[in-house]
Amino acid sequence: MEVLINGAFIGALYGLYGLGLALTLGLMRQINLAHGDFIVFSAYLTLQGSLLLGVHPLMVLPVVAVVMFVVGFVLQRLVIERTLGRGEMPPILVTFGLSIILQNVMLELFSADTRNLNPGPLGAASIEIAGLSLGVLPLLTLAVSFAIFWATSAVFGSTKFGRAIRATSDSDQTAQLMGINTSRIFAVAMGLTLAISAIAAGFYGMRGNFDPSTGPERMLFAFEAVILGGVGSIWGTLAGGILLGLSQAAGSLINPSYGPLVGHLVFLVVLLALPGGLMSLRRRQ
Amino acid sequence: MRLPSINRSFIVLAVIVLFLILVPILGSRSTVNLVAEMAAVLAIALMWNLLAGFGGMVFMGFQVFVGIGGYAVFMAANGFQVLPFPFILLSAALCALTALAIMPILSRLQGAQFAIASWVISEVVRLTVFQTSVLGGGGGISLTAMRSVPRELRMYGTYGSAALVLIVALVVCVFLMRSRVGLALRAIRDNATAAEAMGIDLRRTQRLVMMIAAAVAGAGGGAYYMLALQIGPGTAFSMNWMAITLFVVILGGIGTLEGPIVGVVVYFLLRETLSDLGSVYFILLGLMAILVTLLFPKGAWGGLRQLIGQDLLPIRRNPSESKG
Amino acid sequence: MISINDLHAGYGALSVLFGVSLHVAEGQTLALIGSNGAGKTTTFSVLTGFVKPRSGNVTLNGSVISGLAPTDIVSMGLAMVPEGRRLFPSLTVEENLMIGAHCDRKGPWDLKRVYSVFPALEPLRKRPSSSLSGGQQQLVAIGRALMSNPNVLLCDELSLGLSPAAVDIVYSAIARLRAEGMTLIIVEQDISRALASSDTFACMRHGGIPLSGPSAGADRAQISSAYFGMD
Repeated sequence: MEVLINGAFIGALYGLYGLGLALTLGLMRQINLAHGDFIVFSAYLTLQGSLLLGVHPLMVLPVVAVVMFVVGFVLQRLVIERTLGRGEMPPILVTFGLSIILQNVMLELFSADTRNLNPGPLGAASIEIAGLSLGVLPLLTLAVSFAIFWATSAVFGSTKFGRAIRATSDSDQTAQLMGINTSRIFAVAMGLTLAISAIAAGFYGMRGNFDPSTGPERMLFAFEAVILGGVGSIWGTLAGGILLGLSQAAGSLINPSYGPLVGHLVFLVVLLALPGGLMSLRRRQ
Repeated sequence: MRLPSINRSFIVLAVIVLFLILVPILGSRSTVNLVAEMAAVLAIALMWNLLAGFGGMVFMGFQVFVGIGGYAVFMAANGFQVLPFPFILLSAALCALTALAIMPILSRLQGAQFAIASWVISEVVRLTVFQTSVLGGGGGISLTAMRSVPRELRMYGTYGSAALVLIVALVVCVFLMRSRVGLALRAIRDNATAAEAMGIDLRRTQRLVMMIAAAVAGAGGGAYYMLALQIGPGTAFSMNWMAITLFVVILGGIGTLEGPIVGVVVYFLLRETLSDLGSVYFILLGLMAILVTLLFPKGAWGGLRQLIGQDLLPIRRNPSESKG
Repeated sequence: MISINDLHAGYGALSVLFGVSLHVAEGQTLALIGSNGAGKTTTFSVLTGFVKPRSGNVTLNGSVISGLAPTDIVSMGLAMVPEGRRLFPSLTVEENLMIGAHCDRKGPWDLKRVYSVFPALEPLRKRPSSSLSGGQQQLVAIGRALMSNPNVLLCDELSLGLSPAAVDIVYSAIARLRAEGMTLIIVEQDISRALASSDTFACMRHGGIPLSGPSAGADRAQISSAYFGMD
């Protein structure tokens, strides 16, 4: 039971990883293969910041999120923007190149050692709810995930910026006819993508280990969360992430090292049986 | 003088075959091994280029075929304790079957989703091999069948296998792309809906090309790991294979046959001179891949072709010889 | 109000427009007619900023707009009702209208005014735009363009794919805009409709304008020969 609850908490983080990816996938019909490497990079930034300032990682996390927003914005303007409108291949090739660069830059800067973020007393704290002892950190993680999902969905649903994003993802050419600066929308979206992922990275770093080579796996989990939930659905991504987290937890109950394998298999089965993801089930009803 | 394009292809293929025959006669032991490795890598890159460059199927888990091909040779040769060389045929068959098995998942995906799903499939195979003790688990296995093989035979046999796979890869590319299948493949890449409307069976064409590419890449993987003598899930199913393949194809010129040939030479030149730099070397490779994609999307061959003025391995018939 | 001066344009190696010149005075409506491939779409693409002219220019209220980004052209006062309506399916009717006001150009048009001119839209405001009929969608597309408070409104093939009854409704909306003094350029396949709904017309062929003049009393035989190139 505890393993499954943990799986759900981890899954909420996968949902967060996926939220950013879903944003760029919906808008630009492309994905950033270096997404996971940026997640790991944010975790390193948080680690370095908290060691340097001698404060709790959670204190540094907002600053890292802002930094990663800027990184995403600039990356989009300088690099990814040039690949758009040239077919499916260039964005894939360029972001794969970026992934290789980032992994090796991190290897140079931070060595191949496995690291984690020290949650301090927060790591062991727990509270009793309905006879179950729940860790404060997982609960906080879940609360932050829900808050970010809620905020994203509110921004999308009822602000001018959210409207512009939805219009752009329907058709960027028609959006330009409306006076929407779509390049700026793309860049802001990429910035938000990395900022949200940075927050997820901080929480993940307090519960698990990371090293420079763990990025691609994070990217796959993020993508699986998006597809499991159904492309284009914000809350679907959270549901997809939690399903993925639960699958991995269930797998690791059979054998501790089966977690990711079972997660991948569930993803492939859903892809085969339910190409529209979980949210297509709801729509059908 | 412009030769009919098919004759030009034959001449260039003949030159490559001649080169591959001369290497073991004239070359030193290390040269032979290096060319064997290049041949295997080039065959794999040509097949990825066939899928992605010509067919628009950006298969980001291509290492799955390299790994399966390698393991097939190791398991069969070790099991029977015989010469491993013929078993690259088994690698090819097994990989073609794998391609057939995964097509139902992939065939309705496109672009980024196709790329990631193929990557996930490769991860599933890697993790499964990792957990399977018969396959050596995480530690991998050695090609014990090679121990009793005399050194010379080992070297020439491995070289021959790799060279043969490369020749098959080149011939497949030239003839497939000049055939109706190749035409259909390019039509699908340019506009899938229009191609279907013209009566091209999208799924059948993609499945066929996928199986061919998987088979040859699997054989390439088999040849490569005969040279390495040691295989493990971490290296055989590593994304590094994808990085090398992409680098060879992009740098040389994606969507051409000559491109990967130029690319593999450039890649090995860089590797032999710069790989001491460690991670800086990989950073340079990544930077080059990005710059070439953004600034010179036709790659090195695109530049060379302008100098030469014609394709060396033409895949389009000259208008005069075309019968439609 | 808007002037196109000796415009040459094309795509890559292909040249489409060979010296197009047009002028529309304030409050006037110009009908652009011509067969497929005559250059109407390319002309609109230059006007909206998606195609840069090779030579010549477009001025709006005296300032050059050709060569600017589409976004900037909208905020200078040119809006378009695109062919096929192109509503945003993930947005509701009202959100589609609001997105038209994205660049915050000041002027008389707001939601209230659009609903008063197109009363049929108000009860539909919370509906997803994809659930509307073609005619209703076309009204939303016109309203959406008006929300940017344009000086000049381009309308591309308003009647395309609509039932005759819906076309009547759409063109009565256009008549209303003309009466209010809006400057319009319309592209329309139905030549009678185009002439009836405009002050002047220009007939395009092979990227040029062989014939133009006032719409009232235009010689149909002359138009046909210019349209089909039977000189």
